[in-house]
Amino acid sequence: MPDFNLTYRLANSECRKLKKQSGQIPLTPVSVLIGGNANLDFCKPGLTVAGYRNGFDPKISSLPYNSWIPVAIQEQETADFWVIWMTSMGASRGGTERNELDLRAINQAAKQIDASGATLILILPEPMAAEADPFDTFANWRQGTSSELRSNLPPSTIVLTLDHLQRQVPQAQWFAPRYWSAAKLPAHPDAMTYIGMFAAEVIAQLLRPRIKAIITDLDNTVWGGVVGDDGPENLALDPDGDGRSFVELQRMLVDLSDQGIPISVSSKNTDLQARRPFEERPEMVLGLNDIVYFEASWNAKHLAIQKIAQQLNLGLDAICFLDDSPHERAEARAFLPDLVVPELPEDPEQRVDFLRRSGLFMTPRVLEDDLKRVRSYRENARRQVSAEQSISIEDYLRDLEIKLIAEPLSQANLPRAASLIQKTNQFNLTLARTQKTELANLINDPTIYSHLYSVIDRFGDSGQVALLVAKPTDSGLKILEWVMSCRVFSRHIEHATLTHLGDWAKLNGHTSIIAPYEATDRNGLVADFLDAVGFSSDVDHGNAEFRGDVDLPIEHFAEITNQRAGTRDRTLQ
Amino acid sequence: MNNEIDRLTELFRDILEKPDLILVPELDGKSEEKWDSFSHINLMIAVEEEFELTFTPTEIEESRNAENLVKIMAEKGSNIHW
Repeated sequence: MPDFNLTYRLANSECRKLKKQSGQIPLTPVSVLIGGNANLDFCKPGLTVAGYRNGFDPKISSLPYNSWIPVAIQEQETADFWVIWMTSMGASRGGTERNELDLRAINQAAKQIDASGATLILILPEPMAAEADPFDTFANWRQGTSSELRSNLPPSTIVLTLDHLQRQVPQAQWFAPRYWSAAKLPAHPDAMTYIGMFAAEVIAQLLRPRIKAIITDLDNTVWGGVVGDDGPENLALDPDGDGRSFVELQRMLVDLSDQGIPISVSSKNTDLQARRPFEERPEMVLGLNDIVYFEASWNAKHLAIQKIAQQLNLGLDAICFLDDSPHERAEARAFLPDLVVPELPEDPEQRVDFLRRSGLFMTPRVLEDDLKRVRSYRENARRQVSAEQSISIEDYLRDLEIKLIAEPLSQANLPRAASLIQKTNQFNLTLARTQKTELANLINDPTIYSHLYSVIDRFGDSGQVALLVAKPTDSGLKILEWVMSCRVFSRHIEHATLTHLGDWAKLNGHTSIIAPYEATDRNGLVADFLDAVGFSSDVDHGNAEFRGDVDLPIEHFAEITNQRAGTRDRTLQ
Repeated sequence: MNNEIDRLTELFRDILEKPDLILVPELDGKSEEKWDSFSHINLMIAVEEEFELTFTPTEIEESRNAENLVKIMAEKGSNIHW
């Protein structure tokens, strides 16, 4: 609960410091006129502090008690925002009268403010302490007055109610009629501080640069499941069942596309795979026709995003990137700090609500010209900062503090190993689909390499996500099974597992590793990977026996251990 | 002069942003220009919080000089005196 005195001191001292510290990134100056039928001076410290916190510098002037209507009509003052509170205390003369508001004059003042290019934020009369029950005459008066007021305002007005704030403030910190009598304060200064902060947050939402394009992920974002692993026919897309939340997000994207925000796709898939659900699943609300740029590849997503941004000719701060994976989001943020990357909730059911509440897709109507100059300064400053901060993919992976835990295959992890083999279709070397009973026979055989790997990094624990089984043959150590979940793609986990195998092979006197690759329409990335790390084969495409030396230098970024050390925070963000 | 006067002086120094202010009975809005109607309410809130008392509107009005303020605070049970 904000405290007026504390906030007042903060506004006077801390904010000045903050302003000096943030030197090279100047806060956007925003002029605010504050007024109404009461003394609103005590909203100022809250508005100032929350303004700084939200990245703008409010230049607040307060209008004398009850003067905002004539000032607006006669155009005596101009500002970016007018924050006007028609208080219950003022309208009812401290609760003693049941007056009607001069709606015609208010309407005219509001229109005049709109015509001046400013935004009017009008706060409706607040609930009063007298409203003890729903039949109370004051409640009736206030609700009638509020709805008349609302219907008499031009549509450009931003209308705020205070009920939600009042629910959070203890009565003694809201209702303080002695301050009304002494100095025409409509509420306790603590409550007014809260209201000022709320007004600043609304202004901040209106100032945010408008999102002009969206780039979305596909797997587990616009449909449930992974098309490469599950196949298009098994994706969750039933609007009456487990696909509802995904289809709802598609609906939101189509609605935004209809409102002029182009949708593009960045997916880690082959182009062919990524398009199949669009062509084969009738439940898809989002169609290929709605998508402007369709980027499906195994490359890092920030490359695709950058390419799309250039093609759209838009700055990254006008582009919103949606992805269910915290890793993809973190990578995009690390490489493209200006990109707008909302922290999409893990639960798909919460995502549309979260995006609607984020205010990201709200359209500010004004200030564009006034603030353009300031904004361009700010953008220049930001670009310089991000150029200094830009990092390589190697640095990024190093920063992830990846740990690879290699556990030998055992009775305990056998079920997980078997299910990984059955479920993995993309990073799957042979598609041999070794059955559980066959796997069980390999346990404790010292001539066989069989390890299940878990991955932990600073974003959390991905669990047991890869399996590698190899056995000695006359021509070398031959891989029987090598599978890895797509959850840990692009983190050089395959490199780390291969390193672990290589070390074991050397210890056991092997000189080369044989990777028998069987091509399918989904596992092309395994062949690309083997090529990239220096394995060779005599065939360019299709089935091939890749062969590599155990001494091949393989770059990975994981610390490889044989057991879990304690537990780590799973949701470190 | 007692401790309570010191506590009150601290509030005045803080709110009027005058670290060297000396509280004397004669202090009022005329002798101290920073003691305007805004900082007066500000002071009243701070006194109410710090000394755990509540002023009536009349008392808020009458407290616009230090002598009256201390008198009203004493009447309300605060152990404050010059």
